[in-house]
Amino acid sequence: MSSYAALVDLIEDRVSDPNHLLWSVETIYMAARKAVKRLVADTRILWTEEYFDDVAGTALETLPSYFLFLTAATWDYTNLPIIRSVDLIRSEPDWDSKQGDVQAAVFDGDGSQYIRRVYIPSVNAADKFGLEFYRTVASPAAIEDEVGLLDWTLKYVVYYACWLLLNMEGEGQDVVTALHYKKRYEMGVELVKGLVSTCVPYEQVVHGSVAKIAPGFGYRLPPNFGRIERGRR
Amino acid sequence: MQFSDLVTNVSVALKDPAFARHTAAIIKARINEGYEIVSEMAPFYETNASINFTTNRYYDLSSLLSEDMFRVRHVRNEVTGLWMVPTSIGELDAGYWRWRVNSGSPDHFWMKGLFKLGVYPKSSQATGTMTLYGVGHPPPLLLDATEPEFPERYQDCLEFYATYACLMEDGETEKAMEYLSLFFARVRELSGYLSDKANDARHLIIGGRA
Repeated sequence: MSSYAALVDLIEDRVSDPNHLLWSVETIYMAARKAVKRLVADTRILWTEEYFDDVAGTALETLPSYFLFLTAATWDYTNLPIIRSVDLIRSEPDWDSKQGDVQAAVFDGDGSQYIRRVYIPSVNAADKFGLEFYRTVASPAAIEDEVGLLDWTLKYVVYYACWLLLNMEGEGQDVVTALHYKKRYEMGVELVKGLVSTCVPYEQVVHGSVAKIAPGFGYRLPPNFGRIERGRR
Repeated sequence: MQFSDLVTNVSVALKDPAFARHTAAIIKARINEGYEIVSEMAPFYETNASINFTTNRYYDLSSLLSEDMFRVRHVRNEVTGLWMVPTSIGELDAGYWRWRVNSGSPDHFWMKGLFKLGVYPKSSQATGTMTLYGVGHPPPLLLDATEPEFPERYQDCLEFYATYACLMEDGETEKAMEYLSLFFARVRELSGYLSDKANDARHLIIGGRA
């Protein structure tokens, strides 16, 4: 994996400014950091699962700074439904004060950086509450830090960074070329998203199985359900 | 077509046969850049790699595999000798609500993100291997006699790409765009050939396919 310094070199080479006459190293480094975060958010190539301790009396969990999109929440390795707080209020007006085993998670009402357990844990337990989510890369502390992406994905980062730099006001502005790099970035994003596969295309529709149920088709009651018929039990 | 021929053709297209404006080394680098992009857009390079089983549910392929493989298509459990069935977390959730705790001999797999391979059930022992079969980046073209690993009738796409990249460096954006369009068109043809070559071999039978 390459460092941000190597990524800056790639960008300088692409915009033909190795002597920093048009853009300073700090500007290119800033563009590189933005481009990396943008690519990871657009393509969702980084995914992880993490486990958090249950603390008795505490339901709220702060999401990590690198959190992007939630895919699943678990408790004791069991999938938790993600429920809207308004639906909980309708069924249990005192849901946020009850203690017990965690049976669901609420992702609204506390701000974008929090998730709440339903119900409040009554005992401490290690690694009980699991979150599976798409994540972003950690912000670098120095230009020598690793980017955190494989080298072959960095060319798409370079395209986005070039778009940013060539769009900036100044001597280096070239809107036509900037638009070209924007299009190349967007094509790269579609390509990478196509590579992010959950093997769903391999699912087969097999008559009689539940591998896939076509929309609109579900379990149906027999046509004579509920009708009293002579001679039948 | 050999690597040296591709380089020569690019210098001719740039009207720079003496490699004055763009050295042979730069043209070679641009050809390899295009070669990498072609392998991502048209999956012509199939590869495989073995990784050891652990007792984890997920495997981080970014650290376990070289950068050669970027898309996993099939996985084979070498302990049982059986292919593992592709699945999804949704299917597992529908089957058993606590599937995450099960351990045994892995027989299903899925991908999350670009680098996380999940197996079900997770292996009960950290012994044995599984073999991943997928699509990857071919080794870069280095020697003059090396040839790209896809059919020759599509190899001019590498010339188009290198010409585009060099013209962009020269600031000739409009000309460069034309070559880029030619590059993408040729790669689409290659991709179409790769996806249809199995179908071409089938015989049409009235009422169905062979």
